[in-house]
Amino acid sequence: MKLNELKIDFIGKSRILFPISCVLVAISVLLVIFKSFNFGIDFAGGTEIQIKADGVTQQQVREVMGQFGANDIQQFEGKQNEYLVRFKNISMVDDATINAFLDAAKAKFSDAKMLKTHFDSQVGDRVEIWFDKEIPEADINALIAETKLPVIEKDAIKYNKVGDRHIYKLMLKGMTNEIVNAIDNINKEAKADLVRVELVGPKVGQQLKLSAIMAVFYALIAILVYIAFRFNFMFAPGAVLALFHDVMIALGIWSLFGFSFDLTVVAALLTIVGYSINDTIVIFDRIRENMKDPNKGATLAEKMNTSLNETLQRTFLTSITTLFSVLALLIFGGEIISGFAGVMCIGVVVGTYSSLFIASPITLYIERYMNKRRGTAA
Amino acid sequence: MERNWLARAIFVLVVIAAAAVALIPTFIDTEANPWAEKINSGLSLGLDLKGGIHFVLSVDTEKAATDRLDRRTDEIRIRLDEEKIPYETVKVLPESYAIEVTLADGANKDLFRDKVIDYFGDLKKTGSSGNSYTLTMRDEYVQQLKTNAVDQTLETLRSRIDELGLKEPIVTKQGENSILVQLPGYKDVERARSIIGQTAQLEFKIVAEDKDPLGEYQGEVPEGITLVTGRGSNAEGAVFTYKYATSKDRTKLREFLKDKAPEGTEFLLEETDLADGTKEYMSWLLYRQAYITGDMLTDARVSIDQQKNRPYVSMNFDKVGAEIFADVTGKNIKRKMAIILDEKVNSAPVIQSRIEGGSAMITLGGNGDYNSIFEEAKDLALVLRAGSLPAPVTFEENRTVGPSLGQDSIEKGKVAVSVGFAVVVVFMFLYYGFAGLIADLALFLNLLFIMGAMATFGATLTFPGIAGILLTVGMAVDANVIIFERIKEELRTGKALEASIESGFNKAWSAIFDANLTTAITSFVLWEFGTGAIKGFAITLLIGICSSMFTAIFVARVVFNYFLKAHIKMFSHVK
Repeated sequence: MKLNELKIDFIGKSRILFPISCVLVAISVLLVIFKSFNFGIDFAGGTEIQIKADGVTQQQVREVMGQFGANDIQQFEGKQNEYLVRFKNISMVDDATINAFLDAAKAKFSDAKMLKTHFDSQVGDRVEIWFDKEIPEADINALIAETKLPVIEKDAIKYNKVGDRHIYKLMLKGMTNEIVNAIDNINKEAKADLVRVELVGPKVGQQLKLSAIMAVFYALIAILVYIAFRFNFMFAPGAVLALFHDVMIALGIWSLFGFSFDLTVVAALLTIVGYSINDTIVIFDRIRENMKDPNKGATLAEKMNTSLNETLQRTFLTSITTLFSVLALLIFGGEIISGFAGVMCIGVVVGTYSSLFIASPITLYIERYMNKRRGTAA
Repeated sequence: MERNWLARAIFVLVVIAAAAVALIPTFIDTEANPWAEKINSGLSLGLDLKGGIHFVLSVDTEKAATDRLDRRTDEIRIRLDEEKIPYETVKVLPESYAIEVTLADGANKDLFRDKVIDYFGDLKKTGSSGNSYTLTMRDEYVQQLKTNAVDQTLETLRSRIDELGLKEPIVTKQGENSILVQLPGYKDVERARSIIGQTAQLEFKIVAEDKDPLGEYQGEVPEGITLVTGRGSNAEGAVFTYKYATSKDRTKLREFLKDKAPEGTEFLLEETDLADGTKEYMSWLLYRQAYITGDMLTDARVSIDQQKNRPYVSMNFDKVGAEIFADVTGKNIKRKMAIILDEKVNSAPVIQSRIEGGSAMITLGGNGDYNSIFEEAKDLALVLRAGSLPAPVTFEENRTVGPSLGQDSIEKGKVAVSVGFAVVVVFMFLYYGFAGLIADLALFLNLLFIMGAMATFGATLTFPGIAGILLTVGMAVDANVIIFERIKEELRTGKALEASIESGFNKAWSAIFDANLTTAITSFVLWEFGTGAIKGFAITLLIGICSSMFTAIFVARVVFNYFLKAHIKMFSHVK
């Protein structure tokens, strides 16, 4: 194949491809807004454990996890006794149990005023109740027993007084240890071992979501400014819209298939931004150079086509080698990195496409629009 | 040109040698070859590869602020007494960082303003109605209190974790009131939690045996509480008897003792584990003044009581602490001194004589076996040595990676990098022939430089970092491709090889520079945004960008010029 001998009319083709891309981006935006993502625990909060359970059947493991409210159990490929389990909660106790307990407490201690209650859902390891007067600890213990609130065995009630507020903290059992115990107790041979535990409070997840969006936004702005400064302001919108296109398509595909959305996916999105702009800049650099050369075409559109064809071989080669690396990562890298590698694969392909068919045509349209304005103004 | 080339070639060789040397500690056993430690401490692996614990804690700065307010109320009472201003109540309004003082009458209004409000610089009057005044803590002071609480917690956690003797733990501030703790290679989450989470406030107070509010108490004693007679004496030989209360219900006991402590004293409880697994609480009436606090400790360690074969914690005080301790014990012979840990009375031994040399001990209760008491003593000694936390902490995030998973990730990373690298190398050779080999050489040097730079700067290699290296492999050839394509274009215009190479490199420069700089921009954003592992990715990407520009532009050119001089034909297949 001799790519350098091809004379592809990229600008002409973009007339058909550009609307298609717009539709795809629109679909992606709708998917992101309405279907959203299958957020991993980095963003959604919750508990994710990778656990090795020997001497028990898969069914028994599923039963135990079910008791703790697991909402996703996967078995590891190639590893018989390893499971990846996700829980929405990070505490053994859900809001319903806590609310039931609080209601019971309100009824039982009706002579005291409950000033404030707080189930620390960030951590899930305690319930906090503020009363305006002291409550006998034995009564609280009785209530705990009645409502079967799973508190720790030793020193479950922490008492603290600030001014006239009597603050009771009821310490709840940690979920991961209880799970290990539950599996160990299935039979004599049973042995559970935690390979990995991740526990993220929902507040942390919310903050991360915001900072991830801001990170992508800042990256786009920084690149916009850089290109406007290094090239010409005319070039900047094309480059940034192409990047926006790449990020949106990758997000759309991720949302459509419901793949797990974690921190590495955000890292991949930012890498796509950096990678895809690479392609675009090499092309823009050539356009900038060819604009001075009358042999490379009479109109800007022709010059763009020449530049795109001249750089096509490089665009193709770099995409291929990058794709090789990313595929190696996707195939051999294992589950932890698969989100990253998957998004990168999409990004490399879409990024190459957008550098060829989106970035330059937009620049051309802007040029034409500005010429027209200038024409009417003059 | 000739001499210039030689200088460049030497420079390249020096860089290669430096990178190779920097990697020595990573690949040889530093235990057996301690000299290698002098170069650097080897490529450090992130938690996700090495295994370990990752915590994010938030410091309860509200508690630090309300604690301070609580203490201020004591000080205000003392001040009011000193100035002989009669008052009704002094109480904390925790939601608004304020203290409400209600005076007995309006007669001392001016005196109160001049001698009390103005005395406490951190409080200002924000409201009054009748004889009640609301004193609010100044915003900047509240802010400073909170910042201090976080900083102090950070320091304390650092020293506690240092005590664990782990290699390369990380304890840093994250955001406004969060602290990130990473314990590489550590697996015991529960122990780590208890060591990090314990407040560990240590105080010594004198027992107020000469006061007997419970003995004087005439009212009814609630069910479940027993009054017991205790005996104490002072240095003059006077013997006191007094009543103390015991109960199995802590809250009930507290309720009973409430408001019964005379001015300047307070009731605290001692907790005893009974054989049947339940607990009994007994009251101690103590003088409020704490003579010695945890920050006066210089050392705390586990010792073993030979007679009872029971571990306990022995402590040493610093010079000031030892002097105070000697002074206090000297003045209070035959009285009892209570050792208080986190607001609980640990024990209250009788002072037999003036204690010089500044040491004391804490016994551990419980019915545990020798080993569990020993472990408990060990951890208590550890937290005492490190000092107390100014505010409680809560665990917001916990990630634990077992060592087997880390090893697994390393293996997977190795395979992925090897395969990706091999495919790219073969592809470049097939596509460019001989010139492709030069690109492959550049690629190999790239790997060497990235790892060498990371080892030198002490950057951490994480699993996403491995992905970053592999990605750089894919992208690093880009610079070479840009140059090669440029050279081929120049050749096609009919230029000679040498001239084509010259202008190929020159013309490719701006594209390579701009393209890499924008990637660097996104790497910086990632660095800013990312946590742990993602930061590792950003750093490898950044180093990779620098290294790939160097290898493609500088090293490859030196090699090209070498082959030019050797008259080896390159790009021979270009038409």
